[in-house]
Amino acid sequence: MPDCSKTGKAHGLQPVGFGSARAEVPFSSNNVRLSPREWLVAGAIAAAVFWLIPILWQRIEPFEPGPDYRIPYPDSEHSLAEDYWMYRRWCREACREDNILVVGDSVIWGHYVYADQTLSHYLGGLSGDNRFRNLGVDGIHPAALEGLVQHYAGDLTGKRVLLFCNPLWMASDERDLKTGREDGFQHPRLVPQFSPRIPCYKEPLEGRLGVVVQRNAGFLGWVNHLRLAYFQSSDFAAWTRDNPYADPLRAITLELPSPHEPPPDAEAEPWTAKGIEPYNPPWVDLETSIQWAAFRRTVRTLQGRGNRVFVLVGPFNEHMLMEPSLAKYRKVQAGIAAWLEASGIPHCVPPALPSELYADASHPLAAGYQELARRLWANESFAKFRQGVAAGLAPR
Amino acid sequence: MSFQTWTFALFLAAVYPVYLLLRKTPFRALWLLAASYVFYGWLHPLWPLLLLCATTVDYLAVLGMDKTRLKRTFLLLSLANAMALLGFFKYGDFIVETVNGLLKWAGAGYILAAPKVLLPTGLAFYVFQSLTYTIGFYRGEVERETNFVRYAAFVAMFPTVSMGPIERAKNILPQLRQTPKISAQDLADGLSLFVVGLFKKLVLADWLGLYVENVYNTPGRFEAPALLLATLTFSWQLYFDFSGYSDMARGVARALGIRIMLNFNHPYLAIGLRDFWHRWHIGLSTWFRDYFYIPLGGSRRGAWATYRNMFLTMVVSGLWHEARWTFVIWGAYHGLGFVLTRRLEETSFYRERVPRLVKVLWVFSFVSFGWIFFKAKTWADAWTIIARIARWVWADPKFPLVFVAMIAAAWLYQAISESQFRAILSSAPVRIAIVVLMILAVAIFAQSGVQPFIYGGKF
Repeated sequence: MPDCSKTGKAHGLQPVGFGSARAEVPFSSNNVRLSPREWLVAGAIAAAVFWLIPILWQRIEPFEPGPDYRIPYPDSEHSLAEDYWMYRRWCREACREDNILVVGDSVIWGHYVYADQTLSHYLGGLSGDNRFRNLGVDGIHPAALEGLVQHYAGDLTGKRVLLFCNPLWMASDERDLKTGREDGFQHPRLVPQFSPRIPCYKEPLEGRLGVVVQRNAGFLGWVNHLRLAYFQSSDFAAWTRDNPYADPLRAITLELPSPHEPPPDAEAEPWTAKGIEPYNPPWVDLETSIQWAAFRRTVRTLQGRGNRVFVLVGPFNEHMLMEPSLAKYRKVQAGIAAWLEASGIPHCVPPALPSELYADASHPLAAGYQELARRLWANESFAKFRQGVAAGLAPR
Repeated sequence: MSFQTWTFALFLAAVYPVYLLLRKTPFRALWLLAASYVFYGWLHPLWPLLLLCATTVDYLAVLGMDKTRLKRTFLLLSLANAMALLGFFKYGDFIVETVNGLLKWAGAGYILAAPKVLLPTGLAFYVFQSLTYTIGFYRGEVERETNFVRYAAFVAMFPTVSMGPIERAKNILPQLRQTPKISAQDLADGLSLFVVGLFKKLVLADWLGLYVENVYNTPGRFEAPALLLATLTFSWQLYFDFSGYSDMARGVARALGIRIMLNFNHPYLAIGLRDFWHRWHIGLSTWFRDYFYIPLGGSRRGAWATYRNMFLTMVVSGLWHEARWTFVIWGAYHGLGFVLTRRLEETSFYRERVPRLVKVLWVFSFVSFGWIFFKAKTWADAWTIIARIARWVWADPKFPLVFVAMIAAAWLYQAISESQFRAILSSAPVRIAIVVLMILAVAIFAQSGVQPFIYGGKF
């Protein structure tokens, strides 16, 4: 072990012994020099700290989600929609009991409604025992949902999962992530970083590698959680620049944002009242659809973990579709149903809700969720699913 | 690619195991060369051609020196090639802009077209590094390298190709000729150096840089307190950034079994300007001392010649950093400082009566003032900053208090490590604790994204 007290004297101004094969060069100007054994100790301590801190944090930061909890939407102060560490925590909590987990995008999350006006809330009301949990994520799409389930929803194992399929993501090449130009899309950190290739995802190699590392390092996910929950989504350094006299430790209030409100710009009115016009999306071919392929993989992943999966398809706001598009949509809808049928996956493809119950192309209003819950409840296949009836299983 | 990126981690993970397998074989240099060209080409695919050109000309120049009697001719060829590369890629726009400025002042009705060439990263570093071979051979300090691959590996070696340290052929070529002994301690040392460098860059430099960039990007919006604090902070940002790179470069080289020079040695503990330049960017300062100052005559031809040589050396050194008049001014500022303080620093009064703290603070203040010209984008910005500091109008600088703690801690650590109390820092628990904290800090700050090195874009 080198005598580091002597390296202080070796802060020589000039290196010694040039010309020899192994010139004796001062190690460094500082004393931070460890032996191999000391490195093992440091590495072990660092690894233990990395592992322990996120675990201990969950004991420190109060988290008492009620039955209508959902991952809070970004507002000016907080942005937990991309807080996948928090999602994992919520998922673990939701999976503790014999709940039915409702997984999907902003339709499940409830983009235009309060937390107690979502599909999972109304299903819970119909069940009488509040066993439905909202594991939706606002802004997510099938390609990102696949990553969410793979990397952050490991507790979805041996559970009953109501998985939502929103045909909106197959409505156009842009929605299907197929365009060659760099189109921004949400939750890029969840999509496959290397394979399969997503044409409009242009993140350089460095960024992709960083995403892969963060997925597998819980500590980094926890740091991201702190950043999103307590530092206005700034990185820590930028926050200190913007709040020069504030104590960063005091910013960690341990108060997580409320999930109750919808986004501030979400107008809870029928689409016709908002001046939205009918439109004519081209709809993609299911065979080559990136989003549909991702959805199928997600189903398989969930099934592979021993989950019982029930798929709810739409209902899309057909009233917004002009005639040529409507016919293509029906084809897509039929194709989805055909695959689910052929794969033996229990599912429900409810008809479209009344026009005035939609806020836009796919999101219902509160009354729409209530109606959808009622229709789903009446579905025989869903009844068997929620009762736990399957081949060889007794009803729960 | 930069050292502080995941891409580099992947690169090293691919290169290093093969390097270990080949280290006792003749293919070691070839593998190092190939990896270095991939590393350099990652920045721009055409730049390796330039590297190859500089390498080949100098290699052949020494071959010519060795095989003919035209030593001086071949040396001049090497120097001309170096000047041509730097002249075109680094100074082309500067020369044209200066000439155009003169033409405009003279009322000429035309201007020259600027080359607008992208400056290849590391050009000034590896050209100077290669010159240590040709000049060294001319002086009889270096043996001719008979293996072109080995020589090319010396010039291009990826730990130093982008930002130095500017190594010497007489130091590196012997190491490349022999089989490296890479012990467990070497790996530990490499890791120690790399982690310290990474911490300096990702945590300290990039963090401080947020405030500095904010102020220096639009200096006209800020008053004296912010401008002064940004300047002082930049002193530390620059140190952490560049020395952090050097530490990482040395760490990687150590793991390859190559020892490269110490490039920074607590420069802000310097007690005089001469001491400062013995501690700051040692690779460059010793290069200019050995290949410019001494050939000019050094201090051997009387006081005035000495002052002239010192002044010229610093001016040219300023221009080496970047092709802008603000850097010429910066170099001249240091040259003037040398001239004015040389005698003073030799007096017993200065050496024995002036408290060390006073010396350290005056050198730090002098150097920090000079950094204004280094950092400011234009002469007008530099003047704005100086004038506003001098005018001293108060306004809340909104300077993060945590920076005060950070800089104070760094300075104190350095002071302790050069003092009689250095043993405190040498104890194993302290060293291990520091490393663990550094790793934690790097993990936290790695979220912030990759900031380029300050020196990396200039050379």
